[in-house]
Amino acid sequence: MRLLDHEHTGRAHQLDAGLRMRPESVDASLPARRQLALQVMLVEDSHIISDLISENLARIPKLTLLGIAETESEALTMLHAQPCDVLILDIQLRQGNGINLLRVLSGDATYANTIKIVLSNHVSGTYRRICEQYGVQFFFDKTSEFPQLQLLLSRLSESGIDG
Amino acid sequence: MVTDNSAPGRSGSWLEGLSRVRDGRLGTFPRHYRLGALAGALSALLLVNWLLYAGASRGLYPDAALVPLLTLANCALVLLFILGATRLIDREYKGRLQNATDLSEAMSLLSAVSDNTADPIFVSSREGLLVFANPAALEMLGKPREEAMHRPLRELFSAVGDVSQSGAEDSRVMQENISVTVEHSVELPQGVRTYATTKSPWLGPNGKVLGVINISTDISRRKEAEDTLRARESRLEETISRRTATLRRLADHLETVREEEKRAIARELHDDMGASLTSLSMHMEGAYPLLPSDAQWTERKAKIQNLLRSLVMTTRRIQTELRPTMLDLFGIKAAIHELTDDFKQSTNIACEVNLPDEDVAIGHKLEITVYRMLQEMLNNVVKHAQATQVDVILDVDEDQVALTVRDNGVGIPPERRDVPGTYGLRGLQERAAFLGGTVSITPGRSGGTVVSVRLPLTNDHVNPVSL
Repeated sequence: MRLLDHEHTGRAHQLDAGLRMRPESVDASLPARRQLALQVMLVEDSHIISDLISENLARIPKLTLLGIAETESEALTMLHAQPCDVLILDIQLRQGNGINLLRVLSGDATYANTIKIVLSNHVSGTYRRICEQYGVQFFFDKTSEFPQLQLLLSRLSESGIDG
Repeated sequence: MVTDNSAPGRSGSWLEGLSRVRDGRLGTFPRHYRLGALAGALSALLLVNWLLYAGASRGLYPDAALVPLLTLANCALVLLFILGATRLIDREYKGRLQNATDLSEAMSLLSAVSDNTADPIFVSSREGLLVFANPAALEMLGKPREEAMHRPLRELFSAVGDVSQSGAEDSRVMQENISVTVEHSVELPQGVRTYATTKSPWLGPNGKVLGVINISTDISRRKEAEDTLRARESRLEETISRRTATLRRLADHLETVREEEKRAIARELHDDMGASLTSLSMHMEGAYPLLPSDAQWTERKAKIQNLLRSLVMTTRRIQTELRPTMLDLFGIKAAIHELTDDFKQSTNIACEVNLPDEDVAIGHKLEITVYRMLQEMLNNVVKHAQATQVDVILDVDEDQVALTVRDNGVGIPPERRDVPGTYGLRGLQERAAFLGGTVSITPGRSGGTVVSVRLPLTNDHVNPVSL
């Protein structure tokens, strides 16, 4: 699991497995900022891609990338520690998979309002159908549709998830 | 073993001769012949006496000559009769003598034959008592002649460990007047011997059954050879089945290794090449706005995008062909859906899928097997069936998983259905056989073909391959 600063920094000090989330004391102004910013969590097992995503998301104002999980269990731990507004997840992970994660979340009312976005290279109709069954609102092809995801997140961060 | 011999036994003719000797009837004249001869002699006497009296009464000669004439004539007649009778007696005597010689020759020939043959020959009476046995038969019974004769056969055979001679076969032979062959073994000091004994009815001169004639052949060697051959055959079969099992295990091992390798390559494609391509695309998305906006670069941009898209599609296709990620992630049901969706798209053949409602948990190995089998079956439909509609049915119960693919195509001609390798089903059959399952190919009710694979859910007999 990689924990991020409230803003989109690199991954240098993000790999503290014992630490669930960044301690609140580090930045006293954070709670206030979180009220405004779109809280995003990423589940992606490839460093190259998660780096790129976090780099690109950094350009979106009023968006906070809370953390990056690389496996299903990491993602669950991270989500239990702190809910998010938007969950971006890949289907195939190093351990477990995105759909299992969605299955678990779909049975938990805490995550009912979380926007679930799948960003994956598995884009067949069957995957889309299964994801839809588990409450995924958006499905993007990781290779060709990332700009669309960026657009969506910009819009959400502007208008808020209810907007 | 009991064999009915078609022709009723007639081999008792020399024994019939024996029985005639016993009755004392050989060479005797018939009674009516003797009475006729006596009557003829008396009639001749009467006729001669009457003729002489008649001659005297007609005065052909004086009365005084009558008595001497009568005496002379009668004496001559009696002499003639005596001569005739003597000749007859002599002839009969000679006949008897000849018959006795013939009989003695026949007897000595028979006894030479029966004494010198290695085949046991023995005869039992209607009551089942031994009435004749040649030396070979006595050897088979393990008793000297005086101890064996006129003893029940059943008892004699029981004494040498053969309880099969219950007499039932003898009764059948006598009642039905047939000849049968039975196989039986006796335990002698020199070892167990097996005989094939032909039992035939012993018929008297009037066709009455007097007993049973048994002629045995020692088939111990043949039996041993048969047993050896049978043992060799069963060893051979065992070896073949063991080797077949080894080959199947080897094939299974290779299949598993192949699947693992394919899975590893697919994983690498996804993790390495897929991720690189994705990140390359993302980088390019960031770079496109920086490109000059002239026509040349617009065209280049389109080309780069097309190249990237085609590269991504190829990578994904190879990855899915190598290992259906859907199967690993969501199990067989989702994988079948994905496979049939692709099938519909690429072939334009309508495909109906019928899967169990509940989750299917049959283990990874069976899942990949079922998946590969379905791929093979659908390939066959495309290649051979000329179908427009395919139904895929998966049934899972406690004991087995059944996968059926039904098409409405041209069907398989019956003569080709059982030919190995037909319809590309060889691999299916081999794979199913290894897993203890079966493949059936039947014509559909309204044409087409139904291919059904059944695999047991418990594969206790599947052992790891030993190379």
